[in-house]
Amino acid sequence: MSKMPTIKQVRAFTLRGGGADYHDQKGGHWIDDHIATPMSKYPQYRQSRQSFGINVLGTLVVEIEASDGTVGFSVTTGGEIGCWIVEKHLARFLEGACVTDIEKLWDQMFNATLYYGRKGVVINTISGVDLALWDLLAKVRGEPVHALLGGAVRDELVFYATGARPDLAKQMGFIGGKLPLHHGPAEREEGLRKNLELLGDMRQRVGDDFWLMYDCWMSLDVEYATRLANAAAEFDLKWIEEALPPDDYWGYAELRRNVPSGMLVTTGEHEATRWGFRMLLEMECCDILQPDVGWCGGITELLKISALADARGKLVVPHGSSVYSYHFVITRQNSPFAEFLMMAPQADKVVPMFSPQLLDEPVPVNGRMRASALDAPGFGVRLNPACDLHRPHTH
Amino acid sequence: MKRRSFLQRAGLAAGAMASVTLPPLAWAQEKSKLKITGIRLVKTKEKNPLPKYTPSAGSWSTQGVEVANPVSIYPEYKPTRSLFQATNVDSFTVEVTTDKGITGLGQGGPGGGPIVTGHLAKLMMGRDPFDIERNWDICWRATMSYGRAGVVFNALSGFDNALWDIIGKALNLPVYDLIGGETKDRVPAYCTGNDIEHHVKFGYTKLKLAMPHGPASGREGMRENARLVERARKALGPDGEIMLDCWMAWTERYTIEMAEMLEPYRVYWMEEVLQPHDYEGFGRLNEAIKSTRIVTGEHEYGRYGFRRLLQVNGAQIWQPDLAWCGGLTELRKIGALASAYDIPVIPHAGGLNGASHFTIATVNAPWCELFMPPPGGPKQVYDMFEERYGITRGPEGIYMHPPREPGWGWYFESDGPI
Repeated sequence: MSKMPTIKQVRAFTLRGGGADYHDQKGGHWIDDHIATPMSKYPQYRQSRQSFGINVLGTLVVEIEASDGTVGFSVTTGGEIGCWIVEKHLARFLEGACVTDIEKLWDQMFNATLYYGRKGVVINTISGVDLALWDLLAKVRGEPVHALLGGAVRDELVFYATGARPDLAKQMGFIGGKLPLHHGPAEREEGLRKNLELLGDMRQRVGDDFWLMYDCWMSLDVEYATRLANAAAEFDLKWIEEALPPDDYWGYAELRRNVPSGMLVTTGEHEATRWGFRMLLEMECCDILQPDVGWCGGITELLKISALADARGKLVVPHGSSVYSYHFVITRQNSPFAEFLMMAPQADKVVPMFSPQLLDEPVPVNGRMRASALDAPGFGVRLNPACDLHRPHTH
Repeated sequence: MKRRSFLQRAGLAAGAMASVTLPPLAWAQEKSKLKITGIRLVKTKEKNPLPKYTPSAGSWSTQGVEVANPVSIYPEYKPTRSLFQATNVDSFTVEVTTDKGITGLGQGGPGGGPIVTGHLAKLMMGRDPFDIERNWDICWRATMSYGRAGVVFNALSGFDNALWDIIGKALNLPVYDLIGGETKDRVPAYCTGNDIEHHVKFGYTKLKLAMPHGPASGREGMRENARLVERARKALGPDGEIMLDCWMAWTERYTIEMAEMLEPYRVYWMEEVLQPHDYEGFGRLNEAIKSTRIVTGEHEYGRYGFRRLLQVNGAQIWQPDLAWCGGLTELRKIGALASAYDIPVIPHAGGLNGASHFTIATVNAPWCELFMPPPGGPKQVYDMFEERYGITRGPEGIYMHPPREPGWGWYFESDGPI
């Protein structure tokens, strides 16, 4: 009988500048260029998402060291508050536990924070710990994480690109391009016209067969989203993403009935846990679920969300999250493609999604990634030693 | 502990690497090292056989007793289930061999064997047993035209379970450590069978009774069912739990009347009261009956089957069978579906057939089903039983623990091909 190592120490750090908090970019980046948000109704917060604090959290780095010296780690969005939760609350469950005991640890972290958690930054933090646990277990076993999740179901991943330049993404070999929506309801008819003009312009540049999608980042209401979707059908919009605030399940259900036949409604990046996704499924809110593995509860929870979706014949195409998503997507039949976030400021070249925080982070080549690019133990990435880690709390 | 060291210990590492020119990543080197080279059905023998003995006179376990079932309406088959059950449609054990000497054993359900050798083998030979999801999905899609439930799922389950055995052995880990580790130190067990006093004396505080009678036995049968439950309540005292297995034999109306009649004895659940296709009937009973729990699932298959059950609120506890429902790969998906609705999963026959690995690794899997050697045996037989199932005692009566050996840790081994 084997004896698996136990967890010796858990450490949590913050990190600034890009990476897991991918909104934390310098000026002149497409990701902060007048993108429609729930705050766009306030003119002073309309031009920049950073102006209302989208990057306020920063990156959370969780490091878990085992008794045999193996170290697993992860990055997600969570910053100092995440560090506090890890060090002051979650560490007690982790230290001393066996590295195989993933299910019990998740359940203990979730239930112990139920009275102040359930969604948002607490689940981001639990996700970060969970990802670090999977990284650790896989390294102890000497396997990539995808091998622990059932193995690759296909030999390569194909990607669509999210960013301001679907036309360039097409040239780079991606299967589709997702644009950020720039104008919300507060910018009235002129904004709607501009939204459609940009889409029309891109459709002209990419031709007929390339997917075009709109990411609306919770900025619309049912009425506006319905009009946008119906008008966008002329330009063959494939899906309309996160059009409404995530708590408006009823609105999503209505929007899904309102969009033109064949157009998909997608959402989920700001939804958390199996219970949240159960709501989206039961109320027929969307066609594709888009959980973020760094925010929805980690790999442990994403496996459950995926099973839930699969029983209803729904696709799960995780939001962003680099290697943490790649290792999952390649193991799931109902996740046929993946998202790649274009982090070059002008969206004109492929750079690693969580750059500069990770080393060895694979990127798609010609819009594709071979399964063999994911074959290093754990999630196959290293924390960049050049990063300026800060540990605000200890325990 | 790592596969690398396992393979080196087995003296397998050197030869196959000779042709590699660039040093690839460690995993890439090792991944192709396990390839399925053989799939065959085998006889089994117990590694440490329990002594044979004749059970005490009158023991329920002799199986010469009436148990209510869907065929009971035909008088010629009513006296015992053996009168209608097939003699040559067996559950099976499949042995999957690999090119590096690691062999896995998996158990599947009735009639599945010929599908494994006649169809799945053609698809699976040469594949990597670690590709659990892809292998399962290929078998599922390739049999969709004649499968999706029943015999084909019995087949798929056995094959899938054999792969998990291989993975556990290759990594030197028990199956539960592959799927999330221990969520509890040990698993409370309930005992199925009608040798009530024997089971209580052993230490069980949770008993499942096989209902002898259904509608075919009339009002007197109902009273006899009630007398059996009354006997169990007396033997347990006020605090133990009583569950009823009704094995697809009852009807909606009969179940409602039995529930009323049994209310004074506090029955924890009534299992599989209706035939498995009557989803709406299960849903209506779950609405109508508040004095006990309506549960089912042993004859349900796959995530889509359980989704159907979920949509009609058909069962308060799900009871998939590891060897029938699609194997461990599918059981985990069923378990995840249940967890989003906070539904407990207590796999059918879980203590015996390996599903206790799932139970200990799954938060929403509280108990497992166990049986007992019949009364009248020598002390040695019960001691060996305790050892085989890791039996301990505590506040909930009897507890068990899945084997800690690599893979499933089966108590049996291959006894050569069938």
